[in-house]
Amino acid sequence: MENNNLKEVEQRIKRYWYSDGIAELAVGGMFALLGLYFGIQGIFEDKSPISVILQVSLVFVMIAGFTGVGWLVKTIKARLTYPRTGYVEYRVNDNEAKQRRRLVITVGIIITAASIVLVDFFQKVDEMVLATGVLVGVIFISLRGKSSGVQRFYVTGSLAIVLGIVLSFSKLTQVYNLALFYGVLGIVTLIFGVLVLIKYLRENPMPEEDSNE
Amino acid sequence: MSDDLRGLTELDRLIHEPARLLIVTILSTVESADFLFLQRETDLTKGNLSAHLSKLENAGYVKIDKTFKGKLPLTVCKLTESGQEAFDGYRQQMQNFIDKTK
Repeated sequence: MENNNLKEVEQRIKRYWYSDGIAELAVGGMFALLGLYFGIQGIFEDKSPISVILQVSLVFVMIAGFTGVGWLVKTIKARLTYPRTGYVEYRVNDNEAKQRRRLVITVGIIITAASIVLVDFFQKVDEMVLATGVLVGVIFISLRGKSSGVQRFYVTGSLAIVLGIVLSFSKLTQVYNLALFYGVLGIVTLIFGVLVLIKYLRENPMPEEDSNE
Repeated sequence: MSDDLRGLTELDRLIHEPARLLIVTILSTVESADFLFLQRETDLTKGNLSAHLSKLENAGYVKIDKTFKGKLPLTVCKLTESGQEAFDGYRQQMQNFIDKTK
């Protein structure tokens, strides 16, 4: 019970959410689908009816994706994780939510300001994939890695930033850059998720039914 | 002896016990947690955890809901408002003590 200070306990409990890899499988799956979405969009000509439908439907795809991911993670955890290692309902921390919003807004402002000041530079690069890479990277590193202490999020976050920077200099069109960005990041996140899930299932077999509580 | 140090004798002994302190600490960071999770996090036996939770429940520090999920029993524990206040007070007293004895 030594070293059980409050911050460590908080971090350990936050880490528990990611201990089975299910959240990463869901997020990785969503990224991979986004990659596929942009890939399909790139196949069709810019003003073809299918391309227009795809562009308009992006908002709905994103909303459905985020809602679906939340539901999917909770459902799978209820069947796979909670019977093995227990159930936790996390507290919504208003301060953390505010910090998250502030961070995302700050990064957005910095990117927008940089694109205005460094006009020449931003004409040579794909600013959309660069901004996406930095934003996704910051979310992984700062909001996920730092708050939970899960080391692999630093790897995923760094990969997102590097991918964003590298692809922003590529000669591909924006949709293909985004397709590659989300595709690669999605596959890497899925691989992490599968490895973590296998390790979790090996270490935590389903306990025998017992009502002695 | 200063009042801060003397205050140590007035520590909430129900929370001061190491196993219960760990249970309360865990519950103070979440909305609620089930028996299995608490057992794994505290490394206590079922009997021990049950006994400590009963004491905390009797003191009004923890609310315990026993339900079933399918055929499996589900015991969900939640720190009450008075439990949170008692824990905050305990931490403050300990912090004062640590500050005075540095």
